[in-house]
Amino acid sequence: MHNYLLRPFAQIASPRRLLQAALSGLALSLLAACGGGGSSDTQNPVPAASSSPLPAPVTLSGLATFDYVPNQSGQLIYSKTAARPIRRAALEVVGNDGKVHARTTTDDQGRYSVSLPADQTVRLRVLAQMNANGAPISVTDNTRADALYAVESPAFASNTGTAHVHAASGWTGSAYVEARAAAPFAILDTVYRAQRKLLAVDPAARFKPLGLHWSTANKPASGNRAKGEITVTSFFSTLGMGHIYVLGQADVDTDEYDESVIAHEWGHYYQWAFSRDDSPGGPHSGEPLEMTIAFSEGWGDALSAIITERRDYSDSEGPGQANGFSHLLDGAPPTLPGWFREESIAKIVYQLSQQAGFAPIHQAMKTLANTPAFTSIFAFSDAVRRNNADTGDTLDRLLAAHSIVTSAQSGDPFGTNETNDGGLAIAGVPPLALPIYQPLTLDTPARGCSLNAALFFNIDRVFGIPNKLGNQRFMRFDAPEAGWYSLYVQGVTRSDGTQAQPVLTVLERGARKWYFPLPPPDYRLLNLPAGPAVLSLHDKDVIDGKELTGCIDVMITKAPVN
Amino acid sequence: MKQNTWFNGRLGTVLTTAGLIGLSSLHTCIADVARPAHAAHANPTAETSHKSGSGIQIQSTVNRLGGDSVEVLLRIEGVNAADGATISYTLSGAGQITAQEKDLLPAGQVATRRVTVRLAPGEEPYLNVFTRQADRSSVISIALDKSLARKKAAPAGPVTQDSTGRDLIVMPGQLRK
Repeated sequence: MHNYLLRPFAQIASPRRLLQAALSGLALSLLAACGGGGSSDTQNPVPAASSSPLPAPVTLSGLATFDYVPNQSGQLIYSKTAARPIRRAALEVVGNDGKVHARTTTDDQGRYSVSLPADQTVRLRVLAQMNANGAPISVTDNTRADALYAVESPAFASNTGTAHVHAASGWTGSAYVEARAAAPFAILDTVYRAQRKLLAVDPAARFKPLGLHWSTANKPASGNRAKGEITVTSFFSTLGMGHIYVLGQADVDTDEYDESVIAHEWGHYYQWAFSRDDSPGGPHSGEPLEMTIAFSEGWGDALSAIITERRDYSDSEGPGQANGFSHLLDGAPPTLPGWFREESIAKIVYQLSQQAGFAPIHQAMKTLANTPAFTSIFAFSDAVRRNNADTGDTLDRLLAAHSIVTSAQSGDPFGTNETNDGGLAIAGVPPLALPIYQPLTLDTPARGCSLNAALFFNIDRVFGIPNKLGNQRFMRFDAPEAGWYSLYVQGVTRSDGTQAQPVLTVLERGARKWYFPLPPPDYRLLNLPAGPAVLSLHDKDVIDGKELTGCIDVMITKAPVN
Repeated sequence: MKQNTWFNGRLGTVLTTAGLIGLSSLHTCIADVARPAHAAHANPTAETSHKSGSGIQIQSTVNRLGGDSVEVLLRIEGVNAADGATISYTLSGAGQITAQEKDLLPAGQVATRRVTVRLAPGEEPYLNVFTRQADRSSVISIALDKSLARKKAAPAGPVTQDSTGRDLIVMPGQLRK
């Protein structure tokens, strides 16, 4: 929960300040992101410091817009560039001396209206900044100390009455020659639409602060974010604040107009802010995937389509932003569908939204925050059914079409009774995929295995790394009573004489905690509530890229009471 | 893509960018590439990159050749579409690609490619490697040289401070009446 102090936008502009505000629990009671007109608390002129009489105030109003470049099927179509309103953004009227004569917020149509002194020479400045039910959202440049983007008009007389400001794309026909002023506002607009979609079903949604970091230098190289080496457009969170880094290097990969991509990352922000995501994150191309990342990334694709109200996911790249790809979310199941396929998850959730609306999906995602299982399509379907049986039936039809156990068949969030193993079964190796959660019984040894088998190469199955099906073995233990338990973990000697290096993750108090190899035999004390507890195991060498099967012996016992 | 939390846990709190030192939670992390090593002086360095889209994974090694030239050795995995995949290159920054190998990648094989680049004074060079498979595409950029003094790319606009001390990048807008 965040309580914010009433402060003007200007005092919370930088991410550092946003973060400070979030961390210190300062309260910020700003305007809702959507609905209604422009802000009312900032429309009055800012009092001048001088004691000399002010000229009579005049009203200045107009529209703030930006160039929107559509991505229709993977490529940016500059010939169809159109002006769109800059909605719910902070706007200032600035004098020649830099003094702010008036502040306001644009409304849902990009309009503003302010009262300010007459006979002034002023400029309109729109900040790439808004808020969502009080949570600050901004677009900054990660290569320049996260300075806040703004667009500013040329100077004009305050008596003009009407003045519109427009942020252009900077594209002059074959290249970005001029400043790419529209880009931060394009990013902000996709986030605005995302917020609007959520607020339509949950008007009291409590957002968390979000920093969007974009630069023309942001490129798909790994290394130093301050140099623009951000690897890929991606989301991560710090304590109390979400961050989305956005690619921006022209002729390589730009994402500011790829609304699918921005909305997908906002989907991860949504999981962090309103639900839960047990995915380890990272690469997710090549399927079948580990189930938590399959769900997380499929969710991002689906929410992206829901937010943008388009039935595809499109991403541009390359010289002139003229390459890219697009895939449909309203089509038939993929080849070899299942709970381990991002594409299956994306289509199921998107198509559910088309049949049942977004409200039950949002409710289920909120429920997911407290599931005793790892987040997956199974936990999601269980949450949908528990909230609304009719919607559960609708979802079950989609699940069945994708060869996923239905919520009615499973009856729990653990995927019980799932029969689709994704083709991952090896003679002589304990089951790698099914059951979804290998049962773990008190005082009874069990063995779980993880696999990196890039040799299983074919069109639809890549059992390699990272984040692939078989890399992790999920287990479930039903604690007969609350209390302390000892979980012993021991790597099994492999056929080459080396020993598996166990890595353990445990769902503890609603978060997936990672434990890394210790000198064997390793054990962990776990304070468990009565009921189901879940964990996963893998061999570190498997994840590090060795093509092998690594098995781990585990046993759980009641810890001695002192 | 949500950034990888596994490396974060494994490496401890490593995030130091954006003034966020010490504030990273378990969800905070670096991307899937754990080794920030870039480029190349006398010793080759390696970098692993995985990117969604084409599903193709590329490892690169950059070696300094004589003069201002470097070679980039690529190890390419994940080509599993029946009709293979394609690979192409562009250069960002100063320099010129002087040699590159064929652009078709066969299915089911680990492929290697060699690209040579002649560097020139100016903006820091990156080799952009585009891959495409089954109608999906990806790109990664590989830093080629950090040893020479490089001119920065033209910024979007000057960083200024407003009357409250806030850092702003003010870009020119159009006035329409």
